[in-house]
Amino acid sequence: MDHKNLTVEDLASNESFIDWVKQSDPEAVKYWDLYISTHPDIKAKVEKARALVLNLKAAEGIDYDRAQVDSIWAKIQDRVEAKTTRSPQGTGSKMTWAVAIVSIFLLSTSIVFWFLSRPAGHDQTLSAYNQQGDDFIERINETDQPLEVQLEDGSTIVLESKSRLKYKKGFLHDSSRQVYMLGKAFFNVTKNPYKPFIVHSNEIVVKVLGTSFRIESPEHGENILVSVKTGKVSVFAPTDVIKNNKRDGVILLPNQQVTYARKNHQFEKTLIESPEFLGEGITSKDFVFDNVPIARAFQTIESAYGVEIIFNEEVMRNCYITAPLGSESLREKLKIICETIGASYEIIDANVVINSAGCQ
Amino acid sequence: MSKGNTQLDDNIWRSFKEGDKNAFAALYRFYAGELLNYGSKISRDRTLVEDSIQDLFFELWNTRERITEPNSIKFYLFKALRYKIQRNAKSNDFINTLDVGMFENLASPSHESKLIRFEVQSEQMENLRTLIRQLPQRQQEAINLRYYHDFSNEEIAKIMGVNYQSACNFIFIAIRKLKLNLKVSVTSFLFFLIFF
Repeated sequence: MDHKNLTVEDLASNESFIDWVKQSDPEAVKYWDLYISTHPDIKAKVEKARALVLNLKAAEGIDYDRAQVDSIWAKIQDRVEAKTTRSPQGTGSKMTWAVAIVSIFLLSTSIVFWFLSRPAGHDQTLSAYNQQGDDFIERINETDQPLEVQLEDGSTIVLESKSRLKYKKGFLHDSSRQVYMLGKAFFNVTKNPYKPFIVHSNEIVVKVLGTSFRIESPEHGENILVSVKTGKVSVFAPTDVIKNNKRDGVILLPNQQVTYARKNHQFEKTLIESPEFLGEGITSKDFVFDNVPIARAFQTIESAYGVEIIFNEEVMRNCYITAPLGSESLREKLKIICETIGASYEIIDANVVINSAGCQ
Repeated sequence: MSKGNTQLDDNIWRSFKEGDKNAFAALYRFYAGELLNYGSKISRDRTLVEDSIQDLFFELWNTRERITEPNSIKFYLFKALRYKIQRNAKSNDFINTLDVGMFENLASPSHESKLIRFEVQSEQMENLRTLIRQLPQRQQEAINLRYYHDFSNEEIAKIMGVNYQSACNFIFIAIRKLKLNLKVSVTSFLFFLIFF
């Protein structure tokens, strides 16, 4: 450090100086005490810098609201209790769920999901496709053509060949819409925030309020695949696995998919092979980049495909992109951009991660 | 208000890991205020911050057996909270865009003071706060972590997911800007707390 030209901001942002002001590090205290006593000319600057450090601490010390701390704690406790006891008859917990459901719905008018407060064992027994009962309606597609099944609530399910669907008669009168499926199917679920739509397929459970998604879950297959076209979907593992691994499942957004490996109970989330545009207003022309800051180009792609692009804004501050992109696939677009600026990308956990050393 | 450099008792952390709910409550109470303070720097959406803190502690409880003791619990919580707020904000924005097709939530942060409820201690302090609020968001965040929560620049870099030099720059540039503006607006103010 060139001490002659030390400015107030040099001092106030110096880590050791801050330690001296706060008297938090004996080494720093010793150093600065000695330094100031031997450099009397710096005293005015030191005083200004010290005042600034202390004022900043005071200015940032915004008092919080005790009631806020308490109300958050009450919610945490509710969730912890709901998880450990899973008691079906607590009216209190039912109330909490009702409140949670309504508030979530008000917050986002779109698709949301939640954990059911029903007991774990109950779900587990119902999830077996082969349960017996006269009150079930079963549809089996034994043709080579896809079969469209329409449910009473307006939802449609396209069952692929050799796939089966089963649901209770009058299932609409239950608190949730539960169906059972084996094989491959595309679901287009009518939105009803008060009655979640739940698909049990082999050992996984898929919960939505209204959305479209696809499940590939052959009875004896190794993996189960769930991919999302619109809306938000949550996928859960079997209850006993949740208990042991403390894994609650995976939330999927459009253009994302998850593969569940049945043998080792692992979820792997990634992007679908060919992500599509999310909105109707997006056209190929949006991707004609002419000397555009890289952050803006990434933002265009993020919003068009609903993906998250993770990159170091600081390092890539000087990166600009000129590329007349358009109808290429998402992966192709990323590849071209990365090649142009000498970077590379990976898809990790359904996010795009850019590796770059920056641009000149 | 808890002091930044006060450390939580090791025993509390140990009991918490063994499933002691009282220790969990103590852990929460110890850090809740500081996390709310920091959270308000990342997002002005109070509900978002509250929900993220809720998620953070709920998950902390569920994964307590697997967490190897972090060197600094505070650092761990701050980093995790920031990640949660960003992720939750992202999915909220996402839902909004699906329905409305607009990015209004991503636009410049509003300075509605109704979300920041503090007592005005003095006109000068209010002045400094106004100047801080005019800084770019990440500089504000770095200032908050450095001067109030007492994190080192290295820890700040890790919490914010930037490199060390960037963290130093955020702080230095912010300080320079504050100092310049303070000079212009309230020259005498700097001496306000000299004998604090």
